Amino acid sequence: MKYSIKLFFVLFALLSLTLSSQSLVNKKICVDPGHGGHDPADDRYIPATGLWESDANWDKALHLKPILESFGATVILTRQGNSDADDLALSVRAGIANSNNVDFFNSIHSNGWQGTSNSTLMLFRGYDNQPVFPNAKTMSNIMVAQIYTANRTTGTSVRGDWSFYPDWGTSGLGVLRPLTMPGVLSEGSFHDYIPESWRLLNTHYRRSESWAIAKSYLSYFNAGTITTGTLAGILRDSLQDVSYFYISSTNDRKKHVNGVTVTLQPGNKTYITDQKNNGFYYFDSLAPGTYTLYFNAPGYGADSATVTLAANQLRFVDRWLPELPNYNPPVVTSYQPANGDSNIILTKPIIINFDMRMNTTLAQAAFSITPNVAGNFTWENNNRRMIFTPNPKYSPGVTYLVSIATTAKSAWGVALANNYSFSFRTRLKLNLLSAYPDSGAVNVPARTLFTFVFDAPISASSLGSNFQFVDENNSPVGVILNSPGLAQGMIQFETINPLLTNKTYTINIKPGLKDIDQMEFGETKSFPFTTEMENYVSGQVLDPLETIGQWKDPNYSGSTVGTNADLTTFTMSQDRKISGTYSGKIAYVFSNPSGGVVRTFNAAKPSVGSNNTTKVGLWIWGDNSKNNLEYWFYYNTSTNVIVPICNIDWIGWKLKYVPLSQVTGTGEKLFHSVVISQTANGSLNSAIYIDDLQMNIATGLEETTDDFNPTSYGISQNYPNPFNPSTFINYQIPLKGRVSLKVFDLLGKEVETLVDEEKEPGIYRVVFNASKLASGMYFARITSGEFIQTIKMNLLK
Amino acid sequence: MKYILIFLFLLTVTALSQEIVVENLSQITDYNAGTLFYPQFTPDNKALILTSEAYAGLWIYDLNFNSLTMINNHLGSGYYPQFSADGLTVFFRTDTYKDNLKYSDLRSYSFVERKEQVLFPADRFVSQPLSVTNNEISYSKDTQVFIYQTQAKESVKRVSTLPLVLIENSNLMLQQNGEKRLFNPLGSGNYLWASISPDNSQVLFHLAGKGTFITDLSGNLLHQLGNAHAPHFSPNGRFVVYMMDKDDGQVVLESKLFVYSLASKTATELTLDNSLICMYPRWSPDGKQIAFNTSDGLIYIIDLKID
Repeated sequence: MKYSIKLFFVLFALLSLTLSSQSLVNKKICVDPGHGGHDPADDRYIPATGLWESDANWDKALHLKPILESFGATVILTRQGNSDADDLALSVRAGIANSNNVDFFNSIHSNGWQGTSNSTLMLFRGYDNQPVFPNAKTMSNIMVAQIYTANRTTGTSVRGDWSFYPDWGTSGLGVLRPLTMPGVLSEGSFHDYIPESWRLLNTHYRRSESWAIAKSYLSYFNAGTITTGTLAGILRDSLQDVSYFYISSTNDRKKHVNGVTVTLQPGNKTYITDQKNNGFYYFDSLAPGTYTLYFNAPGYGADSATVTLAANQLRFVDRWLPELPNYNPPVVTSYQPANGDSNIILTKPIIINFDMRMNTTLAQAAFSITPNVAGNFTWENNNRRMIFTPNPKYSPGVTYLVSIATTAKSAWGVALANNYSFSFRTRLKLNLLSAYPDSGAVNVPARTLFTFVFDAPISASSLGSNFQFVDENNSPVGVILNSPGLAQGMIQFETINPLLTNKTYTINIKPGLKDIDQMEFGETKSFPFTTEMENYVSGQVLDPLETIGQWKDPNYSGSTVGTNADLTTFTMSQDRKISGTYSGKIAYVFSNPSGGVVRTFNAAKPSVGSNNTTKVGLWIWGDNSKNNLEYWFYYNTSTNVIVPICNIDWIGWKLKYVPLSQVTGTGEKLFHSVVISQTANGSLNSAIYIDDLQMNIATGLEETTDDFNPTSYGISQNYPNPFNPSTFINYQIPLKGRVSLKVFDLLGKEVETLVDEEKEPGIYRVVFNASKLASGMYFARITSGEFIQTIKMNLLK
Repeated sequence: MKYILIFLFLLTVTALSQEIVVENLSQITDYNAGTLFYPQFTPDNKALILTSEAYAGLWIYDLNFNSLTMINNHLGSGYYPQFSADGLTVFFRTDTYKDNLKYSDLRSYSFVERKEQVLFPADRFVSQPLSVTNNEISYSKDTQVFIYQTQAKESVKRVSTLPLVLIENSNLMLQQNGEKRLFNPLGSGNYLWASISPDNSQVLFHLAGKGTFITDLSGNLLHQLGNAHAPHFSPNGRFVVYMMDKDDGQVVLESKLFVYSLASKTATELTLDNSLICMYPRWSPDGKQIAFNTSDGLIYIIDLKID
């Protein structure tokens, strides 16, 4: 009996030990900190906080390795540091896992998407419900729950990479592809969500995720649970809001508190929240039990919390730190409009910021405006910001004096230290701030975006006869107005049809143009401008830019420097196009005042031949960024040639080309990159569109021939098509001879003869004006010698 | 399997260090065959052994009859299988998972008998076959190297007389003269893609973050190949073929093949089709061809002319 009792206790003790202790002995794990180094192109830098994802991933791995090793696991880290040399290829990372024959592979990352999301995502190889390694999905479900518990994310997702990236087919994530064992890629949280980005700067916040991953392994290998617990939390100001975006369902709205001393008893451990705007504190490896946390920070009342912590538990104790009574006299820290401002719109609110919470009733009573204007008061920032909105509006051309008397008092009853007063003058008229094209402009694209910026939202009803766009005959030009722009003070529009080349047009603004205050422009201003002289004849299209093909993101090329990698992109866009459905959009943000280069590389490197007379180029939608455009070529297979093209000083489409005579080097040339080079006065944040990469471009005025000596007959598709009412038709003849080019309707009836005469060999362009014809399909037929060819044209009115 | 040896391109003949010339590029498989990866030639140069992207399963592609035959679909069996000298038997490991732990065994497949045989039962940390010589297959379990003797049908703890390299917890180990020792000629780090030169005098390896190197068996540095991935010695030991792959941290964007000449200590790109993402090249035993897979799982062969 005694022996049985002893045996029972021994077994019980062993069982207890098994249930509560943990062991990863004889388990081999490969931990891969994603990315590496500090290359803005692919290491995910967040300028607003100074966070590099590569740093955070590396730190998490450094925390994770000893934790796993403390449980007996063998841990292989793919990276040895976080220098640029540590930015290992995906094949190397997977190769390390394979060489070491590990049981599991985990690539640690954080995510990014427009700065407005913050969730936890696990990716395994395969489709959502068809994983290549089923155990990888098992682990994903375990790990996503653990990381969600540790990180301050708002949701979770577990996906197969083939389902998550459907555009990649069954390619999926490169780091998971060659693995001989189950593997996952964890996106713990979103590094571009600013509150989370600040948190990810805290090494213990990263450690918390590392513990979550370690717990996942314990669960995955059924290896017990940890016997200690963790207390952590975020300390926030109970009243102040942050100035950046926050997810409304979270507490991220309130400002974190830096430099809070958190003391844990028993144990007398302290943690001081860092200066990195996260308010995060952290105590791990705590024995189960009851603890009291004491919070002390300058400017805040002392606070404490008593909590009970269990083994294997991560417990968050967040606090809103109480505001201390403030018996100092309040002061006005800033106000708008600034003293002496003029030209103020008639609805401009007056904003007054105080350094502490105010008694709103007394502050409003202490406010005065002379001459008197009725209005409404609202308060923000926890009664630190008073906003006065006139109702009805101010009067035009009047100087107003605003005063706050010392009868205004703080929430603690202390009077304002001093009287404050400032004045501003309301506007008398609507003012024009900028114009494109400016008066007298030349070389304006035939298709452009006219942009006139005023200092107040425009009254749509006043546009009518007060804003005119006429041609040389004083006939109105049809436009499509960007109506939403009016509310932003912009009269912005495009013409319905491309303008004619080498013509003068005029935009007239009349005195009666009004803003929403009914303030008038009050003068007559004319903006004559001349369109560019060249008629472009599209050549042989090498790439219609209808698919992304082998165009690469600018961050891919080693030449892109000085940019915000996340905001510098190459995408296909339907916003602008010269033909087809898409064009390529190069959006970029330079991170420094100078030295920036954005290179969009086309790995297809199409050959453009070796004939020096060949013209090569693309349609470029410029945005008047004043940065420089370059085309880059190769000769001798890979010798690079940089060809400066122009300054981007226009808005609209221009066919920017270069003859191969300007591309140095001999032999066959390959076109490979469109490059934007930063200039001293160039825009930091800009975008261009590119379309129809082509060669053998012809240009000229009216019907023309070029220097080319075509070797065959041909007629190209009319451009634009569909069209209304004019379109271009290009044709070429290799031999001197009579040329007939006629247009027929669907019934075969001839509607116009465009050409019927003897022609020299060459390339020609004619204009077909169908202004007097009805919508429908028409045919253009060319005949020269024995050559006959017909094209279809679609007139859409 | 339809014969699909397609001459895709009129290739510009490209000189490589005046020693080796690319004569032709042939697409071997298409998507009808499924996606296949990591090609290796059989000893007679007449077939390729292939596997899936995750090294699961083995297929044999007969280059004479252009037929594809599945040998097995075992996890891990495609991870560096080894042939007997006569090419009639292929040796490989297979992986299974029990309680999420990885177990591997060692197997053979006889092309004559069309029969698979377990040589060493599933256990923890069993490596792929490391070498096959004279009916002896070297492999490792944990930190021990064993030799399976096919005639005796048993494994013995004995080291091969020929030099052998293997990776143990990221360390490069060299077995030589009856002794296994820590090699790590460039210090600690993650070593991978290690092999012995055909004349058994040199070691080729990659050290993550540092590059690819060739040393002698004493660890003296002989060649620095740069960021050469998945390197493979030519059978005559004069060249190393490798890939240079680039990615954006998520996907492989580009990969080119290069040949490094030990004589001239220079590397030259194999001028192929720019649109292909060429990966994991392997020489043929006769040294006249290189097989590789594209990123999307098609198999190609390059015909070479060597001076």
